[in-house]
Amino acid sequence: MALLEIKKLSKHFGGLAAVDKVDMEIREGEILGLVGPNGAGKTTLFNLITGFFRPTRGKVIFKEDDITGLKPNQIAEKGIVRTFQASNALFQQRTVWGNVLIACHLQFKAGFLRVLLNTPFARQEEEEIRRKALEVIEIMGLSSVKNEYAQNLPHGHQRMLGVCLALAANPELLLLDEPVTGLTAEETSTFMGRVRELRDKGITVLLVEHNMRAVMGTCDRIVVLNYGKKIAEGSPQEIRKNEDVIEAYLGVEADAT
Amino acid sequence: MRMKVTFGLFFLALLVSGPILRNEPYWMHVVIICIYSSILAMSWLLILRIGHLSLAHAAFMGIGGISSALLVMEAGLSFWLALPLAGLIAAVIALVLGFPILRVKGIYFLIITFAFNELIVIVIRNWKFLGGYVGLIDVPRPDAIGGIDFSSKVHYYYLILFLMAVTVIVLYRIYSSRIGRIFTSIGEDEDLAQSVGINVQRYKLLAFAIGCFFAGLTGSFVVHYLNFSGAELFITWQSLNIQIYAIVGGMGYGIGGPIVGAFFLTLLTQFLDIPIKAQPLVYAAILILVIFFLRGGLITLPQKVSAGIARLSKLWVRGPNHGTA
Repeated sequence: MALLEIKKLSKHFGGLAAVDKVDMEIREGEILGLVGPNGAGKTTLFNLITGFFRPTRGKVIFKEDDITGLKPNQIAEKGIVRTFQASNALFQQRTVWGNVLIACHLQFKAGFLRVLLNTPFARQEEEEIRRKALEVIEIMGLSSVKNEYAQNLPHGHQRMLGVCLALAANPELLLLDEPVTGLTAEETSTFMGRVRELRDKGITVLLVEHNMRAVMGTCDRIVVLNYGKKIAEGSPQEIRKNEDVIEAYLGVEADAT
Repeated sequence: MRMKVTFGLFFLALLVSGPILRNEPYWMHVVIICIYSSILAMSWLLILRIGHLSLAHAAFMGIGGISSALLVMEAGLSFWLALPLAGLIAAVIALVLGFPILRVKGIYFLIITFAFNELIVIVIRNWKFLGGYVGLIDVPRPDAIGGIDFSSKVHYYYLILFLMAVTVIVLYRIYSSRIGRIFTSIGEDEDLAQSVGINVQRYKLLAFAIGCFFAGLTGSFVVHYLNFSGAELFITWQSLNIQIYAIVGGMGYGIGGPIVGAFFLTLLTQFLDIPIKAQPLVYAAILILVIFFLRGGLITLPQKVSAGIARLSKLWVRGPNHGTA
């Protein structure tokens, strides 16, 4: 069943079509890879789904609900949460725990007045969610550094914390934007293992990635973009054999290396 | 933490017993200025928490002050009703203005709020109803309440001290709760905050409205205290002063910093008997010194000094010869 459907989605920047009439669906419980050469429109597509950009044309449908043009926080509320490409997209001056606590925002029920008056309900809720934040930290293997400031973390931990923040918002669909950039081969495989664990827990994942090996080994299906258009879709094996893809992407990379 | 509480309580006791220790109208007047300046600086700093540097704080003080004066003089309301209404009117105007302008960041927000402050001053100066060039004179003192008739400065002193206490309590509750956490997170990284589901615009409006509420409240107090409301009380330079109080005191401390800054600068200009025209010069000099040598503000001075002493005493124990060998 399609969890998210994208219908003829386009985004123009002036005369340039960064995303051009893309049709795509993400099925419940899968890890879908979104790949393509630089400037193919992957991140733009990401920003369109999560509401950071407004599409020029087309629709985004989540669980049979039209979410086109909603604001990022409304989309997060619906259950679609993203990470950012930059590994420093964290609350740098806060501890790991402090970061995750902010990201738990959607789980809080007490309103402004109750928080201000510090009612028993608000106090209890705060304590409960502090515990839950620790659980999320544990899942991503950051318990040992929970009191470290985000800015002092090594790169790999910062990447993990980025995912922690998204997880704390309780997503049904998790969008990861190049999450293993700058990680070693070993860190990458640990990371991908965690992503598969999340999928097994019932979170659907859309993974934008440059690292072809990581994508091939992890994803159930792959969509390939080039110049804003979808040029292929299928299982990793099918994609590997696809002529267009080899020409657009793998061929270029093979030349480069 | 314990030292902070002890110091806070000591300071509070000093303020409460101030008039008993030294009941001279002149000193009462100076400390009243210190107190309302610190309310303005604290509420300004709340707005900075969401990442917006407002140069319109004096304008919102003016909106509150003139509303209050007119509510009492023209509509015949009691001061005790006009005071909270002044805050509310400032907050509502902050919401209306904030709706479009809180979407722009950095220098653009700064320029728009600067222009807004200038605009308000021009409107006041050119509209007789709001005071014009002369200002509103004979703004009545607050109505007597339980035998307190505001014939003496001490009465005003305790009123503004009460308003300061309210401000401190509200801000303390905000900073020590989830609301404050959300405000600062927006100031740190707006996109990230929004991506985890925080309604950034709504919380920004909330912070802006609360900040301006206290500015309006202070404005009301000031015009009834001075029995006068004039545009020069609300000029953009006042907005800059408010900001300097917070920076000199220490922007990292939402409550203590602005209080230290407002008291220090106000008392300093009084002690040194600096003419009002030279005041900007003195403020600027101190601002530059603080930025260069004490980035965290005056409130971090004890920490810095004790760290320095600790370093020196270590050197002393080891002896200078061992140190260099």
